[in-house]
Amino acid sequence: MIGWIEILQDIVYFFSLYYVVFWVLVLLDDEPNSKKLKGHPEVSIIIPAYNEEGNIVPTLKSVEAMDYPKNKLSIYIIDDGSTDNTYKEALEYSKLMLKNDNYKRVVVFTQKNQGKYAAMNAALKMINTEFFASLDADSMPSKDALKKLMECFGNKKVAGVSPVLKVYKPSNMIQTIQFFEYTINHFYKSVINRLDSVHVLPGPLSVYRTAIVKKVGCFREAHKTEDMELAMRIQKAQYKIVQCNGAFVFTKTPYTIKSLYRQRHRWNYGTFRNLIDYRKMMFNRKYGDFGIFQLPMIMLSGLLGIIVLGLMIHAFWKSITPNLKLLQLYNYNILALIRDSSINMIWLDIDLRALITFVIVFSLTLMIVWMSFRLYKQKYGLKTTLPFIFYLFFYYLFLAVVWLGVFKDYIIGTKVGWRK
Amino acid sequence: MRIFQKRRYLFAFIITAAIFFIGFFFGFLMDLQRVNYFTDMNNVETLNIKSLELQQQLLKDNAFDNQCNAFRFMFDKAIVELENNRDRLENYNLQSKVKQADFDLLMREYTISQINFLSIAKNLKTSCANSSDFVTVLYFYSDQATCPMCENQATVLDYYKMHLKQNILIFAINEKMDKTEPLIALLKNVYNVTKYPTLVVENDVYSGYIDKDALNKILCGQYKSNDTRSLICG
Repeated sequence: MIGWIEILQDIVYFFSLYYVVFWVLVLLDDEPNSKKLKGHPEVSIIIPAYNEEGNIVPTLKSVEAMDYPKNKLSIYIIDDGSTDNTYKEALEYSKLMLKNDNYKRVVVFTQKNQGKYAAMNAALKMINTEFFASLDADSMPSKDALKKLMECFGNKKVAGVSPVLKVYKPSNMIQTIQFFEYTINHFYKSVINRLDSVHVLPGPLSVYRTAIVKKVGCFREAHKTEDMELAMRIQKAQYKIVQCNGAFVFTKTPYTIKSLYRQRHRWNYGTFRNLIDYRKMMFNRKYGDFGIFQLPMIMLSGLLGIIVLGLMIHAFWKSITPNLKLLQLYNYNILALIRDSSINMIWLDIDLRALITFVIVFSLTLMIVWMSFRLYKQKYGLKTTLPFIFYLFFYYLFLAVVWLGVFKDYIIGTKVGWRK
Repeated sequence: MRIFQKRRYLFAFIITAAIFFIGFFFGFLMDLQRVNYFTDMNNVETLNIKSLELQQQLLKDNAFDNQCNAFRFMFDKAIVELENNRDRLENYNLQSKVKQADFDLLMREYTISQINFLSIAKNLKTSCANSSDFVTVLYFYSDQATCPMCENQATVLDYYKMHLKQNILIFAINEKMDKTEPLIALLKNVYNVTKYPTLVVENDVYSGYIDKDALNKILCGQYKSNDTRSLICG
């Protein structure tokens, strides 16, 4: 007998499978040849910072360590009204930078706290280079990151290039789980890159073509996810966003489950609100795969996550309730219950359909993880097995909880902040 | 206008649908295997019943002297198999997507087998009174929508089955079976079953949910031997 739960399960299976099959088909296509930009054009690096005491100097050091010609770089550090020593640390280190290297410009200034988008726009008013990069003050690019990112601007229609993010020195379970997430996200982004459907230019060292960004209207508050909203506007204006697979940037990630929840809630809330704002792009053939596939899939993934979470809770509750009731009748004497129990199972009791679905999904997931590690140029460490298991079986449930919080806040109209 | 490959979307749909079809095919094969398994099991049950009935007749005719314990052993073995298979059949019936009619038919056959066993059990109590310190419970239940307390009642019965083992024989009857099996309608009439859950302990009818303590009192009064009474009467 097929009930509504089974119908819902089948819908979830179908959409999830369709998504993965579509990915595989995209991967089977030839990678588009993109023209490389030669030489080293001038670039302005904008570093907005809010309460980044202790982080800002390592970030500036990583900028110093980049192998891009220093005389082609202008650095703008904007302190967005920090309440700690961010401004002081940035100012002192900038003097050292100017003394040691021949940067075109190193500018440090402070402003009243207005948010990251305002800090970016304030710096944008000052720059006159063809390209600029945004760099979060808690991120550290690898030596050759900027060089590789700039190579991707060969096509004049490319408005932005996204780097590959890596978790900076993962030291606990939460950060190691995020390491796996970033690894697989990179693979996912390289797939959607083939579809010309990258929907976000992340804060840690995304590079933009200045004229296009100014043409589409610079940064906006955009529900605290200015990097995503600008990417949407760039896509809407029919420019290109490219994912540069060789350009690695290390970023500091949340250390506790609470801070991780807050970060993901802000990202997902912003994503959801931006999707609503740009809903006319959804299912619109004018925007190609970006409108037909990518935007609806982002929206659907949140919804599917919640449905899967609901189905799992339902299945878990259904399987555990009779045993709990039985245990209650045994006055919670587990030993007595075990003593009276007997195992009576035959192979026909196995739900073959569920088992096959699990095996298919699990095999595809492992295949994607393997491909992600190859693309990420990363070796799998046995020590990370436990976080990997947690990532595989529980992390997406955590994300579903985040989405649940997002929908709740959207419905009751809670305001979301971006501060740490 | 940007690139949009309709063909890729269509291909992905066809492949996904094909994988889904394979999944359904496996489901069908699974249902088929389960139906075959129960058809075989049903033949065994029918033979068991015939054998037990014959043995019982011979016991009655005093052809088998002092063989009650041996008979009881065979009866217990057969009834454990019957109960396990009934549970299993009910679960498979719920999971079934394609062979629903076959499962319904099998359910009917199993219900008849249960009534047969009930009849043998009742006769056993007279023909082998000394080795028959067990209680028969006929449990009429319905689905969650019409009987929210049936799940709890089933758990209480599971508890006593686990605890008392062969000293309690529970025959669970789904009220829906009365539409396909006239015998069930007859039993419902005999015991005047109008609401669910209803328990018939030996010949006493208890309508509505009976909790663990209340059932304990009812069952305690039914046992004769001290060994069995010590298991339940404290």
